[in-house]
Amino acid sequence: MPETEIFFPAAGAYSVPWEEKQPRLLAGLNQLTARHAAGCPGYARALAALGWPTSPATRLAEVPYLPAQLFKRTLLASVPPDDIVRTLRSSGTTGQTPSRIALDRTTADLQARALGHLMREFVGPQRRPMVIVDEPVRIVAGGYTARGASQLGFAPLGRDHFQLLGPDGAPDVAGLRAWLATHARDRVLFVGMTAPVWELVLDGPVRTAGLRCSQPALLVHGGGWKKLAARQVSPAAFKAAARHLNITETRDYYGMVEQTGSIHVEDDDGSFVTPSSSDVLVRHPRTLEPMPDGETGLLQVFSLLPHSYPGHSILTEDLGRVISRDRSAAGRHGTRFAVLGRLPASELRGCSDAVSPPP
Amino acid sequence: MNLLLPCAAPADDRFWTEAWPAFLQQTSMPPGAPVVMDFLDAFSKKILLDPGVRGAAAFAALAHWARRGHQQHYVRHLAALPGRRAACGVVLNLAPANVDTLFAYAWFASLLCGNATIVRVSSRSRPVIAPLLDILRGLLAEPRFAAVRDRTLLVSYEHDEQLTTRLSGGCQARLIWGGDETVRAIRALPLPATAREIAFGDRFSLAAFPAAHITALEPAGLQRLAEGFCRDAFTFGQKACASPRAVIFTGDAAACVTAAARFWPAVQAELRQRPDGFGEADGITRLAAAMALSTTVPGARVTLRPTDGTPPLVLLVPAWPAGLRDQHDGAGLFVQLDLPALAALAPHLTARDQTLVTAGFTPAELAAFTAHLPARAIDRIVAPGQALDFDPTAWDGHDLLSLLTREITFS
Repeated sequence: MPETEIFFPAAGAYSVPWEEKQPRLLAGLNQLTARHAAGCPGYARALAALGWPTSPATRLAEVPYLPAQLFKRTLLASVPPDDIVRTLRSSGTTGQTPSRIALDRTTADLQARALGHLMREFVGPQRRPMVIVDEPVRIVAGGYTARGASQLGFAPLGRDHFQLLGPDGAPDVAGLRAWLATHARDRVLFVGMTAPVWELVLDGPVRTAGLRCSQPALLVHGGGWKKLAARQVSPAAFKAAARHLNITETRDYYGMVEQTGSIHVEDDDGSFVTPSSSDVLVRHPRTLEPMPDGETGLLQVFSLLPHSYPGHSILTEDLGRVISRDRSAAGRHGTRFAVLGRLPASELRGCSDAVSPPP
Repeated sequence: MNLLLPCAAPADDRFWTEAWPAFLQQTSMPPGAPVVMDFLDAFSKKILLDPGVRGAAAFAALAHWARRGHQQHYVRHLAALPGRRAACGVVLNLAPANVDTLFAYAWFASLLCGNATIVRVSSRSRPVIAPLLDILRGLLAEPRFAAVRDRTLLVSYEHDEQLTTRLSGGCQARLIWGGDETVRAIRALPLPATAREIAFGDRFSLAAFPAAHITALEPAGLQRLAEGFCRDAFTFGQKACASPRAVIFTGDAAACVTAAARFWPAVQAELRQRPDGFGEADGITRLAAAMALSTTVPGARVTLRPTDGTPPLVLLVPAWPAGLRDQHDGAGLFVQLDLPALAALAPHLTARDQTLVTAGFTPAELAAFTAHLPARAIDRIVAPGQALDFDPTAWDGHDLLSLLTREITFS
């Protein structure tokens, strides 16, 4: 078990100033680079092919990275197959190859611990009655999807869980009405993916049925704005719709299956903020050189959690911009950044796509 | 579904009750009909005289292909086919999105055979081919090309099994222009019992040169080779199945190093003269594919990766990588493998491999190579610059002009 104090500080996931966090984060990442280079031959070969050293980096920008795509192309593990307790898959739409992430017990525990640790900042110390805007998690071939993983990850923050969707995907609005009635004195917590939360709750059957929380509620949602942006739904409209249900606080989060657990939650000013176990960097979309804070480029994400696979430093295809590395107005330490959509992709492969395959 | 040709319009109820049955009622034209030749030649001239359009290499190539002098070659080929040839009837082409102009080659070849022709183009191609469609609409509106207009339906729609089935219901031949996923999805849809189907799956292509040949080339010759190679590789952003993705140098190790050190800078210099056709996402894909391939090959090494993020990225491998054909997305990546002789390449090849771009091998070397090819591997061996030439008399090993006509026998 790694030394974990550095990234689970007792004073909270947002208590360590950036200057203080940097050397410890770098040391942790360097350890992980060495660990994965020793345990995962494929990782070592890929870095060697590019002439990227696995010796300790002296700054964040020198830590070798893997493009997120690599996890769609190949399963990389740094532990023996027997140590893999489950495999996570990205939810990915049909036609796309999902990412596959091999978790051992240590990594799975770290992910759960990190998520609980950082979410306490927003949820508070007490478990809250929880509405899960999703269907029950399905376990397929010894693993589950990123969406399932986030549901299971958030579950320990709640109690008396209400699963809004049945296995058939249909919302149980009457059930929710009864459940909300029994929790009329509680500040309940909603969790779910952004698009289904909008479609089913904020702008869907739950709202149409006139349901409303008796006490101000909190909504934690992630998965990106692409679908809602296409329908011209702004974050402000999203928050306004939430208030109709007396959901007075909403927290978006940015995260990916490759770094489950160390998610970046929306701070009070709308930016995402990195927890103690992670950081972000921006690279030029074409040259891939590091860019100064404030400029828009590709987000590279770091996390101290991945011990069973080389996912501690990943170059995403998401565009973003670092807003500040100073303490936020809400009092949180961490790198604050904005996500500005995805790099426009050319997803054609070979002579493909005369017609996309059926859903 | 949207109609793009003969005119731009949504396919409404009236289309299905009036235009569609009328289209299916069209009689076939004789193969090589003069009206088709005139139409293709008029199209070719329009493009070559339009400074806004002829600048695009893919459009210029199509225009040259369509001109009368070139088409006469196919007319002679049709005439030489056995028996009395007649058109199939109605042909449905499902064109790919990776080669934007392929829809036109497929349509023209089918027209030349005399068929009433439906082409479904990808909605992703539409912005690229818009200037071609404008020209084509203008030509089809001319009374002299009425026979072509009445036998042409160019449509665009998102994947829709019902629509594809409906269009398939009227046709005597269905061509699925790849790749594997699409072939699988479309093949499951019914065809009339008498109809034939021709499918083109995913293919992979390579280039091979003797190291000594590269080293011996004069600068002008090297530049011509690089120019041809870049045309093959980059006209469609390395996404055409015939575009080389692996490069093999043959000779002893030192000679291969010398050859590579001449070849790649020449390619880079040529690339600076032309748009490479890649976006930023391709840069990431290029890197990810190179890294994914190197995970399986100890000793793989990136020997060229321009710091400005432009292609090519060259991954030198000491052994043939597992999953080369699946991992390679054609985003400006070349996998280089050095071998003692061309014959040593043959055992690595599979049915997936289509085009080999070569220069400098002796006929004896090529003969030794082809003699050892595994079943179905390599359909074409071409000189640099010719990989993308569309030859309907031999495409993926098929003679389309024969397959899109039929033989009427008399006794």
